[in-house]
Amino acid sequence: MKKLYRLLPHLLFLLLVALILLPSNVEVPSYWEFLLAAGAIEVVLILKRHSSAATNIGIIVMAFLDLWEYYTTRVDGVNTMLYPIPQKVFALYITDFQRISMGVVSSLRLLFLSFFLALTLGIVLGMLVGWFENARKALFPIAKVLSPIPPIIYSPYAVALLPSFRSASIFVIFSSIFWSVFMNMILSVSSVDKKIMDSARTLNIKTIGMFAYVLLPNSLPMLFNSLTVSVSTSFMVLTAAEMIGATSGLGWYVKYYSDFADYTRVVAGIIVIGFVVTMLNVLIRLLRNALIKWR
Amino acid sequence: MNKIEVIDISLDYMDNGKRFHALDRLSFSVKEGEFVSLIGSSGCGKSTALGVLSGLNHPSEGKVLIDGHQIKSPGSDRGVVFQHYSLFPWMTARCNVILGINHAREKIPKREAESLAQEYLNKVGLEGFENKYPYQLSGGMQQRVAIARTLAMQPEILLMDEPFGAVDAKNKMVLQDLLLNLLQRDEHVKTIVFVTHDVDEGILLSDRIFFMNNKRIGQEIAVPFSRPRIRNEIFDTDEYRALRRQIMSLFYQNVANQIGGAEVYL
Repeated sequence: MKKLYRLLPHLLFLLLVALILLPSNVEVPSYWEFLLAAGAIEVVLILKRHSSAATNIGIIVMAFLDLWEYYTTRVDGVNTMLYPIPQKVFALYITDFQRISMGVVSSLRLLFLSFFLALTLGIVLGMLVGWFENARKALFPIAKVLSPIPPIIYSPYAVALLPSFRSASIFVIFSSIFWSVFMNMILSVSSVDKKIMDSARTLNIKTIGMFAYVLLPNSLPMLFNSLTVSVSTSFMVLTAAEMIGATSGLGWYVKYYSDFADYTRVVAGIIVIGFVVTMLNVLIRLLRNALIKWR
Repeated sequence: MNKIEVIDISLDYMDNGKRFHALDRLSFSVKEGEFVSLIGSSGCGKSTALGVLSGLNHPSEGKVLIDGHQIKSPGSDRGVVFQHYSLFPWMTARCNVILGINHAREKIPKREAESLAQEYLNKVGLEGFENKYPYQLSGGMQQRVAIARTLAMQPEILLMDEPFGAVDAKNKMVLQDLLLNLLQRDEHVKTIVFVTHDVDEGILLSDRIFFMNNKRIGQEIAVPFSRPRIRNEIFDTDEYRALRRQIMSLFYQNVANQIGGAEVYL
């Protein structure tokens, strides 16, 4: 029984292959892109076959792909404009490669620039404000008021206010990351274990050394936790901002083709967004493991 | 001349609008090269006193002189070993020691700092553990690193605040012997102030014991044993037993006074 359960995702994969290869109601110009994507997922599942979580995720993903494939190619009377055929969606990654990859590049460029600004300013200002008690007591309550305002709310206003779409979206993404970094820094700097601080002071570590050797490393774990959340929200904000005024980018891609009711491209765009966010999270995890070795 | 001169220090702190005395006109002095222990039950102010010596706590009144100069903040002439959590968890044993060296001696070449760190880590028996993070080390080993870090800074005065209070009985003995050994061989550290509530530890290590009572020195007890000291030889003598009885009776008296006399049977 357990063995069968472990085999289930792979059986579902074989079913998917059969569904793709066997004749169906609809004509598709090319099917190998979808087959390749499904095969890639299967490879990952085989590599992770000892993890029960991977098995469960594999069952859900494969079952979804089976259903999607079956529903769009085998059920009569389905509106394939609203429910695009998976083969057509995945074929876009070849035929529409240039536009999609440019979208990815332009979105990531905005994202990295804003991230860089928000992290640098958030860390530096957060440390300073956290360190000086008067500054902390004045600015922390203000930050508490400003930080919960969702940046998406003022993104149209920012687009109108700032000279270019680019600066507006950088500003909006920046604010979606900055506040959490800033406030986390303040909290972690002002709550360093007293024993660690005492130890640092008896070692004669002066203010600058304190920032570099004590306060910054002490806040890294917390920083990375908040970063994982920030990446997702910032991507949300980014795509939302792109929907308003951009001429390229992933959000723009989805929005633009929604207007033409080209839902095949819309679905393709949504999948890419999910993929890119996942890759960013993987990147952050790798970075965290490389930087934080002490726990 | 006395190396350390503690003159009438009092320390008050406010808690919920009430004023508390942590130290009350505490005075004592320590000669150069002397090993002195502050002993007393918890809350007697011994750790606070050490905090004043290290420069972390500021007395409300009185002053501490080292070589005749008043101290106001921590300085590289004093090295401190705490009970725990004194290592930086984000640095390996080696880096912890190097950080101490770099801050005690400015502009020491990198290579020299590294070899000095290695030398002291070897001295405390941690060869092969240099690249471990504190979480990978046992409590006793972490304390060895902390001792190595402090000794490597080569301070003139060593302040130790119940350094073996958090390690198990066996490791405690090992570390006490290690400390005795290191101090007999290390020419840099000369004067030590040691806080403990362990009477045996106090007798084994010190030249003089200050028994603290009511936020000040209650009694001063000289420990006559010559150095180098060996645990078993000392613990078998009548002098040791008499000394121990004397200090224990101070503890009992103290307890009796606090709880209110006749009720306490010991």
